[in-house]
Amino acid sequence: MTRALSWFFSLVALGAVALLVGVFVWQSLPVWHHEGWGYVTGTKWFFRQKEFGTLPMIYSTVIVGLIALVLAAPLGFGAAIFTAEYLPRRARLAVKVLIELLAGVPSVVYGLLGILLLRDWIYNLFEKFEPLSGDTLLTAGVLLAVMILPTIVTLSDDALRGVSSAQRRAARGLGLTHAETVLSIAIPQAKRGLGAALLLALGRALGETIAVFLVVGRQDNNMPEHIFSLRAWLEAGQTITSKLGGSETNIAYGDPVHWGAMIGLALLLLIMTGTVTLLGTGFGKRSDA
Amino acid sequence: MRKSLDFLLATITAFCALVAVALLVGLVAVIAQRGGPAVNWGFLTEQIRLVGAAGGIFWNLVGTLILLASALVVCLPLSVGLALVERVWLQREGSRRLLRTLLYTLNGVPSIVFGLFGFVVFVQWCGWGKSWLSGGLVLALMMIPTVTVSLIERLKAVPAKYVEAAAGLGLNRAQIVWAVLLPQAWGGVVTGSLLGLARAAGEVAPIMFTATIFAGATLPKGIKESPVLSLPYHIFILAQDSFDPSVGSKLWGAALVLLALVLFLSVIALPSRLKLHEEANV
Amino acid sequence: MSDCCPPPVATDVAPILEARGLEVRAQGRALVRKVNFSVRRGQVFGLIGPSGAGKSTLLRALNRLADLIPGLRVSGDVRLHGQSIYAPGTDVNALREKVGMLFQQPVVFPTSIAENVLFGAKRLRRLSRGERAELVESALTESALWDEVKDRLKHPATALSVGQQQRLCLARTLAVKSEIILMDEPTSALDPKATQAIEELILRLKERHTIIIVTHNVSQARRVTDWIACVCVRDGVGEIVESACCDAVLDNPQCREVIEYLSHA
Repeated sequence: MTRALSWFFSLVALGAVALLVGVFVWQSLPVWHHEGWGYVTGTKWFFRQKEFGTLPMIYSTVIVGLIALVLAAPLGFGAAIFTAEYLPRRARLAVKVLIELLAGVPSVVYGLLGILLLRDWIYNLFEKFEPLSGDTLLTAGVLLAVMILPTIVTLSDDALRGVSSAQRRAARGLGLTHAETVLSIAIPQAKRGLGAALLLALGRALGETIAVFLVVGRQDNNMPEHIFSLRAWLEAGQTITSKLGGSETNIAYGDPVHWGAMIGLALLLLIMTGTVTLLGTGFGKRSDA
Repeated sequence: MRKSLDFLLATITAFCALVAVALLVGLVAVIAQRGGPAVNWGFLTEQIRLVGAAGGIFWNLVGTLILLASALVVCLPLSVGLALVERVWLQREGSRRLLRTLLYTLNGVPSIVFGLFGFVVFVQWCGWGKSWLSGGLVLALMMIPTVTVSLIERLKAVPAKYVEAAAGLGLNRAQIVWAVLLPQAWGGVVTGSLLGLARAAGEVAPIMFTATIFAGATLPKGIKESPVLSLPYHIFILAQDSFDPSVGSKLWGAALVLLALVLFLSVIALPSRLKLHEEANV
Repeated sequence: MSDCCPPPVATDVAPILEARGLEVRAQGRALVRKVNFSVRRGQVFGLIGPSGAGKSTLLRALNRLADLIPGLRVSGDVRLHGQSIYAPGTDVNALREKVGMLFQQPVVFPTSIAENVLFGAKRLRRLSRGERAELVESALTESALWDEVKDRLKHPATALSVGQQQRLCLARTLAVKSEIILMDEPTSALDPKATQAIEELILRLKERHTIIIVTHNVSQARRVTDWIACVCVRDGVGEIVESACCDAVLDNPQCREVIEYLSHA
């Protein structure tokens, strides 16, 4: 009886997941028929004219995620090295707990703070580039960096602590200094876990909707010529998540192609975050000693 | 030279840790500072007036609590079922790993995806329109990985000797589950639920298309067309464009209350998480 | 009741390592106390006694690896070449280069055999490619491993057998040119053949090194040591109860605790 119930509930849950994927694939079909590959390579999105090109949104999503990662990784790694290698056990737990608690701050609150603090700061900092407002891709990237920082710190700290202390002691016994032990034993052996931390943090950044929605500017069709330039990043943009969180989702439902385009976006997002998460989980797991 | 490297590494990493902690603590401080003045008993017990410029957040709190409660009720049997299947009923390590991978991947799914799923299935196909139940179900789906994994970890930590003793007495697997495993691992369910609820409380994306509106709802009557107000959505709407200065501190007050709720849920989960950590390390 | 045996008589040669009034405490409780001994250059100094008496803890105090174990407090003194290693300002890392350690479970790093050998040495001074190769060969030769691994120096060290790994750890310590090698039950994880190999090595090494070895294998102590200090538990704390040359202790023990220990061993 217990067994039957357990299996029943499990299959309900798994069924829901399968349904989710199925629904998304099925409902996005119309837009693939309509646009073909132009869906992901097109740079113009004008739903009234039935034009659905998602490249600018894909670009924005990826760029915002990468900016967040590049900003948060050094800081996060450094903090994790400190907590894992230098703090005594009690202090380390206290700091970890603090950082984890703060990781629970809801994204709408981050968004609010982004509006209050980041907008003007970015606007003033980059005045000479003449941004139109403080709502830019860069703003979203910086905000996301703060949001994923706790993830990077926690997971990296776990990875570093997972390196066996016998190895550390043997190295110290040979006369290596603390720093040399960290750099030649702990970090290289924690490589997999550190990589996993980055991937999982990236996954979080790619999937974040509300905070990004509030500060990214939500400007469609802004595909820059030079994708890796500061100027491009100081423009307002539209990520997949900010598009989905907007009003277009509500009005799209009636039209199969339009709705297909929206769901297609969600499917793209699912593929991106799913891949990154799977890689990250795979990475981390295989480092079993 | 080697000594200076030693010193340099320690200093730089300490600095990073300081900045990280300062950033995060600073966030909370800003919210507390701006929202503090607005929060009082009246704020918590009155309803919204003047589009958020006056009044309080009572119905928003009620709405959020309704969503959380329904999410928990739905999530629990599903999560416990999944955890038991992974730990007790599945025998091959390969299948277990597959299930766990599925759970971790599900955990990484963006919340807006869940929201859209709920919109299609519950709001449209089931014909419920915006309903508190849709929101609850979607949030439950989001919570499943957290609760399941927490329970699995706790089940793993039950000492094998208890299971052996019970089996030695002739109990079958189902009996062992109820007699030994669940009682000892129940803390995992509690911890996971608290953490899952903490995350769900602050989410907007899953409920913005499925369950919540900005104003005009109190208690839901039935399932169809029964949306609720909610705290995070309230903040989300007010935070956008029309930033009426008179709304100012009430908006921050709402943010502070939400933050307090989330932190509260996380904090009460702490003691049992720390205990598991200790036991794992000793 | 005072110690059964008087401390070893000072000879004309200054000891290379001395412990004076050494005591190690953990969480307020003493683990070992009143430890006094001298080790002469080229000696194989054995520490024997029942498990839990504190021999390994004592050993770790000699190169300050005990510093890395949280909660341990060391008082008293240890002198290397007459200089206290616990004096403030002591370069602990340099100390550990001079006083190396071999652990019970061989700890090889997850790199190649050659890299393992050079792990400590390459940080001490810049070595040219030729010097590195020379050092690898001499260290592996001295630890009787060269012939077995000379064709696979770039292969992972983890592929070696446990006995080979222990000799690799020894080579690693030799490459750092330690004068004193502390050994914490170095053969208890090894099979008899590998054990014999290590014991033969110890006898060869004492020409150029000083060895302090913890062992609970009394026959091993008989085979390799020159001098033995017995660490037994008195009033719940480990103490050195008898200290004399190897034959004297093993054939003609004076202390009650030692007699009892040897009769069971």
